[in-house]
Amino acid sequence: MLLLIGCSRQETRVGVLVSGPGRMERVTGLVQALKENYPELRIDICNGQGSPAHLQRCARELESQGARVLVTVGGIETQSALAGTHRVPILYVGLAASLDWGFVKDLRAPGGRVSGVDNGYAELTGKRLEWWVRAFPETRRVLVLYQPEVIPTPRALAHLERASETLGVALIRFPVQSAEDLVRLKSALNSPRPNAALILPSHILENHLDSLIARLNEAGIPLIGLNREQTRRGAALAFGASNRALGRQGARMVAKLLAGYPVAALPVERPDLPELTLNPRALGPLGLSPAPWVLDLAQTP
Amino acid sequence: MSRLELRFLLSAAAAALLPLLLVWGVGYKVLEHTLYDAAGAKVAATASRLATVLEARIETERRVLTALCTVGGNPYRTAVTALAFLAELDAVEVELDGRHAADSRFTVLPPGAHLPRVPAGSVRRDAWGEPTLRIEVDCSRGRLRGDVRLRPALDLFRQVPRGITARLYGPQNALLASSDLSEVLTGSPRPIQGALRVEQSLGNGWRLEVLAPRTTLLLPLRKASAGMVLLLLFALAASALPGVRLARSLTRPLVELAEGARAFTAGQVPPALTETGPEEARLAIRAFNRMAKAQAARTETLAEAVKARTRELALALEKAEAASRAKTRFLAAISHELRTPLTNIKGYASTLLSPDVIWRPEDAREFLRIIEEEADRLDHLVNDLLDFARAERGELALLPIPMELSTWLKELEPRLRELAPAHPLTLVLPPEPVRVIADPERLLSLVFNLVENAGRHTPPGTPIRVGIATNEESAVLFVEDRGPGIPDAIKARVTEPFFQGERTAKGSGLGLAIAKMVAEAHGGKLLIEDTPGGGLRVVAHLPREKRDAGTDRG
Repeated sequence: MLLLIGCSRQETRVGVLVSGPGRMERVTGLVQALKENYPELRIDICNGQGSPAHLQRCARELESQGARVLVTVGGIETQSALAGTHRVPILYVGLAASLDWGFVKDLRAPGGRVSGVDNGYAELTGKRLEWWVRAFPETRRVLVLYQPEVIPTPRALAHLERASETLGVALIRFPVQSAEDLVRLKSALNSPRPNAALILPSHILENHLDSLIARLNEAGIPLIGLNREQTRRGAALAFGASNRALGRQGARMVAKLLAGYPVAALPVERPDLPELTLNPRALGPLGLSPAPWVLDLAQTP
Repeated sequence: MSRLELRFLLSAAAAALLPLLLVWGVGYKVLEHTLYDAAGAKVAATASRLATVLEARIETERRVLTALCTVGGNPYRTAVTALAFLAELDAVEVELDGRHAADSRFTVLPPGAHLPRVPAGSVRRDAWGEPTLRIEVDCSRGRLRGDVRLRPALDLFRQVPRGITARLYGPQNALLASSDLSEVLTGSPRPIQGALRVEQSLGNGWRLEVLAPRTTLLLPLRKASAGMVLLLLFALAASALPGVRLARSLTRPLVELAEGARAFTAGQVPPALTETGPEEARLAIRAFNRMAKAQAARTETLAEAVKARTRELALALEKAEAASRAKTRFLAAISHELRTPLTNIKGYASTLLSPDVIWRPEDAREFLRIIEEEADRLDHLVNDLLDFARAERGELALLPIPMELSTWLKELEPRLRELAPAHPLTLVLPPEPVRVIADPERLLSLVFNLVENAGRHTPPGTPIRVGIATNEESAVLFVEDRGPGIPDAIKARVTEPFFQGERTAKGSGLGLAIAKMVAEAHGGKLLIEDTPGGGLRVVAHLPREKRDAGTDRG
C-alpha cells in the first residue's frame, strides 16, 4: 500500500506601496535586491498616484491576499498601510525622522508592527551644510527651503541650526506649503542673496524639484540636495544614501521578517552609506569650483 | 481481547518488529556519525570563512587608518578623508604632529570635539542599537582613533547556513553579533544543548563561536525516523487484524476447552463443544467431546447402579429393622410365654410341696395335671423354637414317606378339635385318596400350627374348615376360618418369623413361619388368601406323589 502525503508550498508574497513615480527608485533597489535573494518571491507593487485613500485600499487588498510584509517607501505610504491593515508587518524604506512620525516607540525596539530603514535625511541636513562649506568655505548665507507641515521638518531644522552655528553660516528660511509658493521664490533670492539653497525632506519640493532647480539656476544659486538622484536632476551637491541603496538595505530587513523575525523587535536602521555627490555640470555654469580635496572625496552623479 | 490474545499479538509483533528496529538502530547510529562528521566540516568551514572576512574587514580599517596616520598632514582633512574612504567608519579622531581634529559621518562636530574615551577594541552601541568598535592606530606622527560600525560587517552572519548558529564575542565576552537576531538584541546567547562547536580567536579579545545544534544536524535523520515509525505503526496496524484473527482461532478452542473442564469440575457434563480453529485444535475438541460423552454414559450407569443398590440397601435396612423389631417383640413375647408355664409349674409344685398343707389326692392330681400341661406347653414352645432355628440354618431334617393325606387328616380330627375347642371344626376331604411324599411329623406340625392359629385369632364359635383339595400338580391342604382376616398391608409379612399382627396376640409368632418352612421344605408353598364372605384361608401346596400308571392301578 502507498501512503500518499500531499504537501503544497504556499507562495510567499510581499506588497509594496508607493505614492508616486518620484520614489520609484527606492522600489527598484528593493525589488532588485529581493529578487536576487528570493527568486520565487511574488512582489505586488501598488502605485497610489498620490492618493492616501487609494494607498489604503491597496494595503487592505494586499493583506487579504496574504502578503507576508508590506513595504512602504515614505511616511504617507506608511500611514495608509497602518490605517488599511490590521496584522501584516509594515516595513518602510527611506523615511525621515522615524520617531517623530510615531510609527516606532524606540529605534532599537519599535514595539509595534512597523519598522524600517530611516534615510537619515533629517539628521544629515547639518552634514550637507557642512560638506557645502567644506567645498565652498566662502559661503555665508544659505537659503533653506522647507515644508513646515511635514513631520521631519522640525528635526531637520534643529540639526541645521546647530550646524549653521558651528559653521558660522546664516540661514534664510523659505517655507513652502504648495507648489505655488515657488513662484515667489525669486524675491527671496535677492535680499540678501544666498550663496546656496538647501532643501529639507518634502514631497512638494521633491515632486517639483525640476521647477525649483530651474528657478535657482536662473538666479545663479546652486542647490544642496538630499541624494545622488537629486544631483542627477541638477542639484550641485548632495549627501545621503541613494534611493537604490536604501531599497537594497530595506530588502535585507524584509528578508529578516520573512525569516520569522518579529517586527516589534527589529531595530530601525540608519543608512549604511551616506555618500557625497558633487555635480560638476551644475557647478560649472554657475562658475563655482569646489575645494579640490573635497572634489577628490566626492562622487559624480 | 483476552490477555492471551494480547500476549500472542504482542509477541508476534515483537518478533516481526524487533529485527527491523535493530537494523534501524544500527543504521541510525552509522548515519548519525556520518552526519556529525559532515556537519563538523561544515561548521569548521563556516567559522573559518566568517573569521577570515571579519578579520579582513577589521584589518582593512586598521591599515587604512595606519596609512593615513603615516602620511600625516592636516588632521581635519585626514579625518574627513578617513570617513570618505572607510564606509563603515562612523567617527574618527586624529592627533597628528600635535594637532587635533575629529569628524563624524552623521553629526556636525564643533571644533575641538573629542570622541568618547573608551578602550581600544571595546564595543559600544548607539541610540540605534548599532555596535561600534573602537580602533586605535599609532604611528610616528601621532594617533588615529575610529569607531567602526559593525552592523554592515555583521550582516555576514545572516548568510550563515540554516541550522548553524554563529556568534561574535568582543572583549569582556560581550556578544556583538549572531546569526540568531534575538541573541543580538538581548545581548545574551541562548543555551544550545549538545551542539558541535568551533571557536576561533580573532585577536584583541574577539572570539568567533560557531555551533551546530544536534537537533538541527539530525533533522534529516529524525524525519527519516518519523517515517520509519509511521511505517512500523502502519505495518503493525495492517498485521493486527489477521494477527487477532489467528490468535482468536487458537484461543477460542482453548476457551471452549476451559469452559468444558470447568463444567466437569463442577460435576456437570458439558454440552458438545463446537469444533473451531486449526486442525490440531479441532482434534483436541473432538477428543474432549468423546471423553465427555463416555464420561456421561459412565456417570449414568453408575447413577443407576447406585440408585438400585440404594434401593436394595434401603429394603434390607427396612427388613433388618423389621426383623430387629420382631425379634424384640418375640423376646418379650417368648419371655412371657416361657415365664407363664414356668410360673404355673413353680406355683403348683410349691403348693404341693408346702409342709403345712396336706392336699387331697384329687387336688394333688389336678395340680400335677396342670404342671404336666404347662410342661407340655413349654416343650411345644421349645420344639417350635428349635424347628425354626434348624430351618433357618437349613438343617430342617425331613423323613418323607408316601402317605395318603385324607386318611391321615381324618385320623387327626380329634386332636385338631382339641386345638380349637371353642370353634366348630369341619373336615373337607376329597372322595379319592390324595397321595403325597411327606414327613408326617412335620406335616402334623404344619396342620397344628394352622389350626391353632385360626382358633387363636378368630372369635369363639366361628367355624373352622380344614380340608384337602387337589390339582394336577399338587395336593392342597387348607385351613379356613371366618375371622376378621388380615389387612392387605401385613398379609405378606405374617409368614415372617416373630411377626405378630396384634401386640396382644398370644403365641410365639413362629407358627405361620414354621408352616411356610415345612411347605417349602416339601417343595411346595404356603399362600394366605381371603375367603369369599370374610375370613382367612391358609393354603399349603404339597407336591403330589409321582406314581406310574401300573402301580396306581395295582
